[in-house]
Amino acid sequence: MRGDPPMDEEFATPGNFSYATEYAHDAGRGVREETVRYISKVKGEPRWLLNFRLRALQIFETMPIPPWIPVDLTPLQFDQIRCYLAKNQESKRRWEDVPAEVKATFDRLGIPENERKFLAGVEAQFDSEVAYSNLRRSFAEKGVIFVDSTEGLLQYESVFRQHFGKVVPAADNKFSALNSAVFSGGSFIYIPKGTKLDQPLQAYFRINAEQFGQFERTLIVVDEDAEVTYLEGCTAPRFESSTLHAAVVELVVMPRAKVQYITVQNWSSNVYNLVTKRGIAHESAEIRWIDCNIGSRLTMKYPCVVLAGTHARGEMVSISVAHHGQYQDTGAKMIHRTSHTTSHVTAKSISIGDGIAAYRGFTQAMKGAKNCKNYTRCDALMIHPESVSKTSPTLDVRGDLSRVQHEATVSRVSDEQLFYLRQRGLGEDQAMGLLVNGFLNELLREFPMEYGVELKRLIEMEMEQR
Amino acid sequence: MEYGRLSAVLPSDGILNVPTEFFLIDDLPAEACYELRLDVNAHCKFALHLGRQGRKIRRQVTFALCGTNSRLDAHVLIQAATNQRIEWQGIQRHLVPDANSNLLIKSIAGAGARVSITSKIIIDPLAVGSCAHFRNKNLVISSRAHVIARPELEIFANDVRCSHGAAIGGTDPAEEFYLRSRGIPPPAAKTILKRAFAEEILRQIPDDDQIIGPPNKIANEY
Repeated sequence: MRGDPPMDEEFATPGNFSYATEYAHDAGRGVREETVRYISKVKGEPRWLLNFRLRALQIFETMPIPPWIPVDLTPLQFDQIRCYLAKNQESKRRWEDVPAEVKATFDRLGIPENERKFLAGVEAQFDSEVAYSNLRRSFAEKGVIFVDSTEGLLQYESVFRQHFGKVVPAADNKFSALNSAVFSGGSFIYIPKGTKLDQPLQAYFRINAEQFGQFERTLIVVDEDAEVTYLEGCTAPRFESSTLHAAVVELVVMPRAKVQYITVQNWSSNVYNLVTKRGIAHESAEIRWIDCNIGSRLTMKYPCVVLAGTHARGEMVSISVAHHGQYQDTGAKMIHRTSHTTSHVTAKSISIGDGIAAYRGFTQAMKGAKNCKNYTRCDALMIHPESVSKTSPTLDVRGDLSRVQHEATVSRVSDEQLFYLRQRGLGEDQAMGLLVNGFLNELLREFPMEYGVELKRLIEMEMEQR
Repeated sequence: MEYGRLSAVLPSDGILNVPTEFFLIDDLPAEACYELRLDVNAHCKFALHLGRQGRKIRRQVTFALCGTNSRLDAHVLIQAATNQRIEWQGIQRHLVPDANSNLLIKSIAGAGARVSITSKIIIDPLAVGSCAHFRNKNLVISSRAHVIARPELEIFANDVRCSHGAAIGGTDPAEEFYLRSRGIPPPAAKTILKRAFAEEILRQIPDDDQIIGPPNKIANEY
């Protein structure tokens, strides 16, 4: 996410750097029982987790691919995907201890620099395992836990097991079943009661290998009256073959707690990004998903908030940019399970070239839930005549005491706007970049400043490539 | 503008070409599926009141804008009384440039009723300069009612103006309070609010007892 890094000779284009590397652990190709047993054995997991994985594998094998998936998944070749590639089993606490080539990758992404500047803790995942994980001492002393999921499972089993797989069960969908069977890496975070982190925690997910599947699993438990902001960034190099990213994120937000989960993904165009994200907000708790999806061949991501306690609040802010040949199928789910809950969704999408940007949403006010309020707004901007935009929300309301609203508009950059800016001396690309940033500006302000600036630059670069 | 009832003018294949100015009223039985095609410069006003046709009512309607400068103004009122099931599946399809379509659907759902409204706007790649709007407002007047709305857009051309909006909710407590503070008892206040809600559609439909009944009667049915 750092802008304009100096180019090393071995890296051809910015953000596209990759190199051959040796792995100590390789589960081979395909998703089979041996793969699952290998991962579990290498990680030294308890019996209950192996059984959980094997059950999930059965579900994955029997569950069909949902018929509504908009893109042919044949290029993924599940029997050719490598599910587990790791250099080591333990994440390093000191940056100096991280293997040189892994360090080189993350150095270029600006991780140590950002950690010093504005982060409370950092985790960096390279393919299947977390290479580096560190939390500031002051937060560790308050009882904050920020480790990779394997360490969380082995060292904090009681908390981990209590919530693991409860928010997103293995049978939720085919890809959550796949993740449950072969997951590795991801974060486990626990914020104790009353602890408010004034600086964000951050995770970087990097895919380096070809024909690889990254299946990280993140579990965040925020205890009563606590607050945390979690940032995740994702990148991968460009290969001829397809790469799969099938993550699962579970948030458990206790009464009066707040979580802000920010994702900035800039996947290369060979990545299929099929992610399940869901959080449960208990009484007066708040969950905010802030999502920016750029890149990937196909992204299917519908972060969900289950509003399980009264006065709980859910929010989704989503930006997606679909370039040539890309399909951004994003959206949000808001499930109002109890009374006096509110949710808000704002989604903006941009289609460039023959890119397809789709919003798929679901808002439900369940039986007996009273005074639930939801407002959803989707705006789509289409840059070229061949661009495509789709919107398909579902509003499902039982009872007469809730209010649910959805609005959507589709428009293009008008010739008059372009003419006005060009008349004032801007080139066509600059003018288009400015107009697109203007369209997104309201949402870009929701990101931390450092990210917002980088995102603006990234979107300008996307517009230059159009 | 010509005036016609679908039961009288719809051919057996379920496709009706609307050549010029035409005001159509759907008075078909409980389950019906048809397509209205608008030719060049055609202007179709369409009105439908669903609710009296039976316990289970279903409509699959396609409005195909096949001629340039064609225009559709469609109004649908759905009144689902106790335990009624009403389903609407509609498509506004723009196949040629410079066509215009507006669809407004309002529903009122009573006790135990289930209303499902799916409406999709499709703009084909050649249909530049299209203008398509869909609005859906659903009034829920019972804690046992269930409303599902699915407004959808599929846009394959960029020089267009399209929007859709859907809302589901009960009567406004502030409006009810206003009426009650002026001495109107709660049931009458609710009836006035329902009638006001339906008015935007009812005024589009000719006063015809056989089709819709007088507005007062509709609003007092619950």
